[in-house]
Amino acid sequence: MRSKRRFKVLVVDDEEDLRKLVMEVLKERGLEVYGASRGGEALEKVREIRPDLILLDVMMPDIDGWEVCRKIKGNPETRQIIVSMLTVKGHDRDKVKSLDYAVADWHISKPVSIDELAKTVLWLLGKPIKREGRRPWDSR
Amino acid sequence: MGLSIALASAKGGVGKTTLTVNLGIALAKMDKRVLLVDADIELADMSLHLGLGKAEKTLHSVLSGNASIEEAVLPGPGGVKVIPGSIEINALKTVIPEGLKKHLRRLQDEFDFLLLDTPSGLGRPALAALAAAHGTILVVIPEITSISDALKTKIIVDRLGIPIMGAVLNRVTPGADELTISEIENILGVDIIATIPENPNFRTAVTYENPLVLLSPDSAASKAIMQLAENIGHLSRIEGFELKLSRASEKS
Ligand SMILES: Nc1ncnc2c1ncn2[C@@H]1O[C@H](COP(=O)(O)OP(=O)(O)O)[C@@H](O)[C@H]1O
Ligand SMILES: [Mg+2]
Repeated sequence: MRSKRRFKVLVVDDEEDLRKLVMEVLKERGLEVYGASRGGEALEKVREIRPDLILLDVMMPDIDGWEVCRKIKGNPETRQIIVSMLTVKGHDRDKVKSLDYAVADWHISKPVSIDELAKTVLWLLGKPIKREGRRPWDSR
Repeated sequence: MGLSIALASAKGGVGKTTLTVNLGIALAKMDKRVLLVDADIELADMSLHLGLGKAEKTLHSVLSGNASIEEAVLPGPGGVKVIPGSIEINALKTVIPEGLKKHLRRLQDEFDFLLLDTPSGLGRPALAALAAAHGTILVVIPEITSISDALKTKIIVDRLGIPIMGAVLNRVTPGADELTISEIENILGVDIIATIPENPNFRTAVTYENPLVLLSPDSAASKAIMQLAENIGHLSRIEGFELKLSRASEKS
């Protein structure tokens, strides 16, 4: 069952224009949106805000998004947060790195249409994904 | 020349063997000449699905130089021919997995379709099986681990320069909160060419050693497999295979 509370989404991207655009669109879809432009800042905001979902860029000046995701998923307090990488790194091996190494819940390759992105975010929020017992701390 | 197709996924238990035998029988029902090859040399269990019992000559005999591939071909249910694997652990010791491609080539003219059940994982046996086929069909289930493992198989198949004909989405529970077809296509970068519903009778069928398309041909799962067979059966078997299959229509 879906709660009445508005879902909180954290958009992490060092490209300001893109981040603002994504935030704008998600806000229009009724989500409560926050932004961060660095990996370190993202980890702080995660503690502060406790978002339901994070859209996470990979290439950022301080910590890369995959490492940020690993930290989030490695912490029992935050691992239930849904994380999707959102990155120009779109080779199959990058997707595998997102899902396997970073233990992200999903991987969206840029460029993606803004409608498609919003749809995927709502889908990720609405549909808990079966992870078949796999946890970040399980080594593979 | 027949078309050889590897049914593949790095993840185990997603239905590779189940689909290989049922798809093969479905193609045979369409009067195609079908050879099923149990190329899962580490955990060969196709014989159990088909009720073949213990075979004297197996793919293991062939790959260790103790039999010709022609000698290892057995008649199976529903008009298919089968090359079973050996269930003995010791049989693996002397096997050269890479020989598969060369051996199979000898049988290519006798069949329209050669379906290879492949090992899970990304090890040497899996690679040899993938490399032996003209095309690959990925088998996935609606779970993230299955998708990431299928991506790994895809990376390897791409490296081998073998076309991926599409992906079959198996074990779909209608109405469940699962990954949707378009989401899976997006992340996998491969068309879903069939969706097969969850059906507990697949397991029963193994107990009865009688594949579902024979045991229960009117079930939705069997019909979905028949439809996939029709999709594949249209592929020209002469030259310049057009290995692109049509997408399954998105439901629900
Ligand atoms: N569509 C399905 N519905 C229900 N059970 C299935 C389905 N497909 C496969 N199975 C079951 O899943 C198990 C694993 O299937 P199998 O074909 O052996 O997988 P793999 O060869 O990929 O390891 C078997 O018990 C099989 O009966
Ligand atoms: Mg198997």
